[in-house]
Amino acid sequence: MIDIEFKNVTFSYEKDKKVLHNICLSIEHGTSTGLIGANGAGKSTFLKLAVGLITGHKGEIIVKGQLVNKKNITAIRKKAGYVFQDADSQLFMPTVYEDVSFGPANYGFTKEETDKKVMEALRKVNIENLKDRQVYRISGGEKKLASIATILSMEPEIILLDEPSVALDPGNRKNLIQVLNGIKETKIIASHDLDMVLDTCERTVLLADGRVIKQGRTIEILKDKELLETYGLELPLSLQGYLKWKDINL
Amino acid sequence: MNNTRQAAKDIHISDNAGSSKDKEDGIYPVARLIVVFIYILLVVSFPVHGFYGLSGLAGMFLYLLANIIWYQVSIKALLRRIFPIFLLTVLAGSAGLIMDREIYFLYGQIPITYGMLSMAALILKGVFCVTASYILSVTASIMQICHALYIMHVPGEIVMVIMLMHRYLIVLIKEAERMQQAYKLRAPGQKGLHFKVWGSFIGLLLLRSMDRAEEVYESMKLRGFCGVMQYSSFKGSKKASICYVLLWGIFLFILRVFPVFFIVGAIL
Amino acid sequence: MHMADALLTPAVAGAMYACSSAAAGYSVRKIRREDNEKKIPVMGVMGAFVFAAQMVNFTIPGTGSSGHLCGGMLLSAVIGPEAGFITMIAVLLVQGFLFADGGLLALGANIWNMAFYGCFIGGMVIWRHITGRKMSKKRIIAASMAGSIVSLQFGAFSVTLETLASGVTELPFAVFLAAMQPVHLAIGFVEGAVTAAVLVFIYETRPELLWNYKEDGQKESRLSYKQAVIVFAVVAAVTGGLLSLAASSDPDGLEWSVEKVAGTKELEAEGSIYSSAGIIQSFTALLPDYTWKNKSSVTGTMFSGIFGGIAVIAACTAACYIIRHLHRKKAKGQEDE
Repeated sequence: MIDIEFKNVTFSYEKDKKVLHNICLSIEHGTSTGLIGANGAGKSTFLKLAVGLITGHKGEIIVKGQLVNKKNITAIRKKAGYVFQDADSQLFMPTVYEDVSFGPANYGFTKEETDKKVMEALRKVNIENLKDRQVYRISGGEKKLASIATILSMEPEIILLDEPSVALDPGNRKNLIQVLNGIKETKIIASHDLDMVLDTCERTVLLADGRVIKQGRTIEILKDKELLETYGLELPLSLQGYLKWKDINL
Repeated sequence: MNNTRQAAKDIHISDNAGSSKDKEDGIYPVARLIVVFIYILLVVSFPVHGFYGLSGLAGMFLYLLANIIWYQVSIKALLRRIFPIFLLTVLAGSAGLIMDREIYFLYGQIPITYGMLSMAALILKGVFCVTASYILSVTASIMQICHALYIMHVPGEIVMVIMLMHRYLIVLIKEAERMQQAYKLRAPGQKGLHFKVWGSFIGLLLLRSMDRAEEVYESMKLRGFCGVMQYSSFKGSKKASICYVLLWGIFLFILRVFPVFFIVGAIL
Repeated sequence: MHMADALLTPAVAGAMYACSSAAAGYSVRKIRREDNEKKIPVMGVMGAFVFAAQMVNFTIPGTGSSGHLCGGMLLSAVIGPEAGFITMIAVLLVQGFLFADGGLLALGANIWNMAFYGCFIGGMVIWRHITGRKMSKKRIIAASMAGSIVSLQFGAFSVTLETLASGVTELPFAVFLAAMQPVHLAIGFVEGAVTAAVLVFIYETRPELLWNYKEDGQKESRLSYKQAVIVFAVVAAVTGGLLSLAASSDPDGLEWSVEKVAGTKELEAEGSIYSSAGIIQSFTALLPDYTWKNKSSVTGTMFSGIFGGIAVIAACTAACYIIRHLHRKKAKGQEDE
């Protein structure tokens, strides 16, 4: 089953300055896809189009069998959650609990149901202990996990993450990777942290200048040094190390 | 730059107050707000002229004393907060000192004028009111105040704006502080911003805030926001809160009507 | 320009609360009618922005001193006067609460003095009048300067009137006015210059953010004559009311009589405000004023007062400590269980 489909999608913020060119892409249900590319390649635009945060594209975007347009947008947003790059924008309520419960409460669940969903979401990202903390007083890593929990509490079928590992220290990053691997829903992770993509995604799409350059199994794309360097990226550090080690031993 | 740090500290103190289990007494924030309001209203209602105001005002100190002890309010921080209002009331009262030199009575050889009495009353009023507000601010969080406003039927839009504002205060204050630090490091010896960068400095801060607001709105929209915000309810006892308002109200009213200190003094 | 609680009487504070509430009610209704979901998050974050911007020091050229921004006018030019007004209320409320800048009772007066004039006179009337038909750098500078200076003059004048109407200080009207207005003229210049600089920057980088910005060739959005008249009528009524209050304020702020003032014709339009002030007034009038006629005994009375005070404070302190101690013990006992 296909969860997200882009059919000949073209988009531009200003006239003559196309951000996405004729994108054709489909994301299978239950997969985890890495969306990689240099700064300004169109990764964020891609994600925002999928949840209808940006409108005015040419072509068709289909999420869970529904066309992204004004009429379907509420239904689609129930099914697809989007985690912002900046957790401070994502978390706007005073405490972690209130923020995580914001989505379910708005969708009309009762207090008990909301509470259950919130606790479940917090448990999935291992921050049950932060429940009553003030949002602005928790650390960057905790904020990131909390912002993922705000989406999980709505029990979406698809989760879109924009640069989730930015500004995280190695420990928090490792923790995040574990959390992401524990989430079984369809995921699209836009990032230029290729090591994280290698650890969390089975499929990868390489974007450059708003075009899909290549897509396929993650390892196939991420080991292609020449391809990556042409488009402003470089081999994941883990692979770099591996190749160096191989050179020495040859 | 210090003021940004001080502001952040004040916000932390207030938030800590709201969440501290130690001070939890089941009293609704709205009850505390009402009592403080009554207190200030009564303090302000004392006349400043003549001796009665001064004598009655002194008794109003009891409310503050009880709160300071109960909530273990830091005296040092309190004095820091009182100082500006003290200066202001001294300034305002000194006019009376000059204008109203009619002698009320002689204390030995020292003439006590009406002006002196009204100045003293004014100072007491200022200090008492600020102290009452200050005690409230260090013992209740902004979220509790929002809850109180919500109960008092203040339009939801205003409460929501306060809530969001409180959430982004620290974020933007820190942003402004970083920008100011970056500026200062490259412009040694300047007291503030040079007028050439006024526009771009504040302008950039404004643009960033607008972008932030845009993202916040998107984040709300993605989670089904449709104009109404849900409030978490406050755990408290209605009965205790009503008693709290009534008892304090009666006590304060008694203090307002009878100069307690003088009556006790006369009895003793 | 924050008013302090101590300088106001309940009647004046109540009247100012009524005025500010009326303006807030109007603004909230207007925002609801706009039905723009985005407005609330924008107002919240912009409130935090004003708070942060107020903490920035500006070097005033040629003086060596530094100034601060108030922000009502700036806010109105970006998010509109009604939204700006509500946001400024939130800012003043949080400031009053967190920093005890201006008190709870004086909040109504502070909202009026600092937010109303900046947003409605500066933002609605002046800004819209000058930039409504055509926006340019020059017009923005002119509007910002004029708006800031005029609204600060109005604000300072109101502070003077409110203080005098309260009758708490004995400063003569002329002296007070002569001290307040020129100082706020200078402050208004700085406020205007900062506002102008920021708005010109926004105009050059992202003009679409300005509240009444229209791409060229679009319909004019100038303030209608009627709106301007309404705003000025409100200002005139409130100022007039305050003036008559100030004029009639007895040295003993308490003995001011409602009937005496309400009897004059020009106040009839503001009936509701005065009646609410009257309720507060009659409440405070219930409180008796002691007369200490026998002055020779005053010294003795004072001594007994001081003595009594010490005794009561000591007793109260002890009682508080004992109750707190018992309370803690009880709470601890419950926890242990």
